[in-house]
Amino acid sequence: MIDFSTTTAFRLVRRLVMGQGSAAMYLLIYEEGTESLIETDLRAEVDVQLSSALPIGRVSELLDVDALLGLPDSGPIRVLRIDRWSPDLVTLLDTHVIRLEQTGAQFLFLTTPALAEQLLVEAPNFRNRLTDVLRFIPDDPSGGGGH
Amino acid sequence: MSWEDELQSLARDREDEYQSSISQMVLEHPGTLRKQLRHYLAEQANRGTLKKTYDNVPRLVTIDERLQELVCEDVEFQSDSRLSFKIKLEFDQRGWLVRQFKFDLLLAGRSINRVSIHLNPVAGYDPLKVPRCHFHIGNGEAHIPFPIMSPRLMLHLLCEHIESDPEL
Repeated sequence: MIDFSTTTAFRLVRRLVMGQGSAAMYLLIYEEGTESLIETDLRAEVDVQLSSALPIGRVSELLDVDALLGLPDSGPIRVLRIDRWSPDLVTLLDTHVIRLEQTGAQFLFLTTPALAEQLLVEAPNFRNRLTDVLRFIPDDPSGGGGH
Repeated sequence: MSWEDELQSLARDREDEYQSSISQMVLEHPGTLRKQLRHYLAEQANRGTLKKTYDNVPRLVTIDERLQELVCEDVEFQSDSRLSFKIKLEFDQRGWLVRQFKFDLLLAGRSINRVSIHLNPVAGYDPLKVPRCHFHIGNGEAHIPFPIMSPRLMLHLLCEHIESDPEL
């Protein structure tokens, strides 16, 4: 797998804040076992930097065509987990990616390395529309990694 | 009561007010306060006040399950001034309370080279000489009483009002 750049919730949300008002789609790849930590980080950073709550849903919710086409307004940042492989879902995502883009929202797709690899190969339209693909790691409060 | 005793009594009253302010100022969880302070510093970097964004400042150090410390070794302003701070937080039945802090601002190219604001962990033996919360100007030994306030306000005061004051 390509060695994608690494980011944390702090850096990512800063980037999203800078790009507020413009559509964006990020594929965020987390290591197995870190899902809960990175979701907690993401919620906390959105709370601190944007003073808003962050609902996190499953990408399978998009299988509901009404949800995909109507996309009820749930804030400027929408987080969707891709936690299992579904050919129907990938086809739908690949076909309707432009509709997602047209909502003007910033989409964060959370997934594992294995699913990301499969997705990038089998959903070329989706891949081409991605703003970035990033390795998403938990924040280290003790300051590991230097500054 | 002698004049000296009266002054000591007034100073002890001030120490009691400090303790009361601390007890009433329940803070966020240290992990959340860390994110808030980091965000504030990042905003300062966005505005060009700080030289860069510091991803890992402040650090959170767990001393034990009831005592944590936020540590900022050094952030650098565009003016070459430098700020460091340490904030010790203690958990009691009311929540997280500030126990001690030290903010040190080294001012570059100014007539006053340093401003330090300290909260000692306990009231001193002689509150007339060393108030629990005090500030120092330059390298002076005088401990000048200072009001207790949230660490977030303290950081704001130092970044927005003291560091940027051209008259200092």
